[in-house]
Amino acid sequence: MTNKVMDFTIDVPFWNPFVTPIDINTASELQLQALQTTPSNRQVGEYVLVLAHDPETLIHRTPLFNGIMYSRGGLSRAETELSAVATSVTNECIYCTAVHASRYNDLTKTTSDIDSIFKNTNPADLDTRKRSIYNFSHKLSLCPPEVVKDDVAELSANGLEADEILDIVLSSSIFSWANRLMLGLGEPLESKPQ
Amino acid sequence: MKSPFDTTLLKLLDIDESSLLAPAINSRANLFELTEQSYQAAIFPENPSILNHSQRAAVAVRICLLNDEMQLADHYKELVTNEDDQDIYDINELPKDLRLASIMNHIDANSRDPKSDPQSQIAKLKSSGLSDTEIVGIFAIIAFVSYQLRVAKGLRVMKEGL
Repeated sequence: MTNKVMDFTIDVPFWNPFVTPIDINTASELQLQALQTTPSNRQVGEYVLVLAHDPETLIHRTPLFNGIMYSRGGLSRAETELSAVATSVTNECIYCTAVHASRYNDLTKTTSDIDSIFKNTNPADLDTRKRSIYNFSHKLSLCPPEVVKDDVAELSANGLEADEILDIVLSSSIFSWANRLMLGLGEPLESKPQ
Repeated sequence: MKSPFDTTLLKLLDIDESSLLAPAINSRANLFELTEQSYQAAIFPENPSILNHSQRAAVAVRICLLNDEMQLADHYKELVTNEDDQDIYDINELPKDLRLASIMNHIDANSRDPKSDPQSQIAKLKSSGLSDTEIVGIFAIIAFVSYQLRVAKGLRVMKEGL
């Protein structure tokens, strides 16, 4: 018996699927091709095998995800992760938050920003640049999205250029995609069930 | 690779090479190409499984309407080729067909609030006779359109705000 993780954490849980992952031994050629794309973290095995039920979307989704998160230029890696965290916290995706909050901490060699976000999902303790990124990503994640042009002006006022703002849009949006899969198709557990 | 300005989304938003956003978009041209490929895969897959292309477009309209994304909703309405599928995007009422109603109920929940009791949502889809593959296929549409409409919204406010 293993417990569901209910609170935000930087300890990456086990993602336990609600549907049966495909059997790689009986996978179609297209499924195998889709599975060759690089996973973004070491816990992703079950997740990708679930998504491989729909290989036509998976084959494009993984390079899109990796391109948004890991391309050079534009927004810094840490700020790209901050946008991912803001969206995942807004959607209350415990798993995605854990993966990307821990990466943010690794990249920044800090813990205070994430501690602040976990304590208060409207984190006043972040510096103004980070807060503008967090707020924009949060508002874009809502249903319906509430981001307005003044939020773009706020990013600009904090020194963010157009290419960096585009990267925030893409990072937050791809987590509106990822969170819906992670939250809907499985649950975060403290450890893998025996 | 096609120009990012020839992709469905940027054409719809009327963003071209003359836009102030063009240098930023060109620096991420591959991501707009992958977005286009994802659009084709989610709405016009070679193996459409449980929902045909017209029904997928109608589902996309529904998700856009739930998000007040009228421009993209209008685009998808043009792709609903079967008049009967217009029921799918009536957000005030579920379709009369019980299986479709169950799917739309799930689409509404996952679009609006993805954390809302997902295990029970999956159980309802399974009890409506959907296979795991069909369930994942439905999630693929919701998740993609949820991404696409936010990229549209983000680009629109960038156009207004920069």
